[in-house]
Amino acid sequence: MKLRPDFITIGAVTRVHGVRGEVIVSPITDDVQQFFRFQKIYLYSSSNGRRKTVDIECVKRKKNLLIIKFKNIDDRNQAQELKGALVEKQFDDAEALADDEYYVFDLIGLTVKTVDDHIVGKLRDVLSLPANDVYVVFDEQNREYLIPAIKDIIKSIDLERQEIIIDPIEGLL
Amino acid sequence: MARSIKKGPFVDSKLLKKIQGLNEINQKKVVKTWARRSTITPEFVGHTVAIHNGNKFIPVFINENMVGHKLGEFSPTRTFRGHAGKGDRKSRVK
Repeated sequence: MKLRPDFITIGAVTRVHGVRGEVIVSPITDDVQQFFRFQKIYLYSSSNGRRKTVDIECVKRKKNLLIIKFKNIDDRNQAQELKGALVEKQFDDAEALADDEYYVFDLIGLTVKTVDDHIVGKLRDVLSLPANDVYVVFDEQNREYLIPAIKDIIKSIDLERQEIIIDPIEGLL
Repeated sequence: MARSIKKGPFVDSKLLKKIQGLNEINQKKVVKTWARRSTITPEFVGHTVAIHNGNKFIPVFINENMVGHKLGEFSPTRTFRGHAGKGDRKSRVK
């Protein structure tokens, strides 16, 4: 099994907002509401590789973005230093997943096999589409296969053994 | 302006024929189609249709909630690839 990261990125500080130390965060998550639940959050600066904990004072929503005010960051100059930082949460803070739900970062790289043990390829991407998710799988010859994430086809996903077992219907592969 | 009720919904005749053929022999098979404008009728439910998005065929499993919609609605022609592999995106096997 792949090692799980200690922290998960859920957003990025894109720019400062106003003169009171607020920053605009672009969320990188399916669940934007989680920002309103957190008391504290982690900011990771990729330029110096440091991670620090900050307390959240207030969160406001502005279209697809969030305006966040952190405690002890009270002016524009202090907020400017946060620009470019990644907003992270601890993996332990993540909500438990449902039985048929998986993190995309866990799925990427898994080997896709058919029920008769024929290797299809490796999963490279997951497309989130209106009807169902689609797994993008590439074989050794770099041929692409699109596999719908539906129970009729995906028989099992084994993160321990790093494999996905599928029962392809005619015309899928 | 909405389509006239007198005409009924537009369903691609070749696609409908293929689906009806599969229903008759009770077989499941991926049916490829370019007919994005075709309305989904109850005959389609339970089948997987690979709908062309201008680049590739996106496999879509048809369920009851999709009846009355057009096939093209479920195969987007533009894909946002900004945060691929990052964040806490989840995938559900439906």
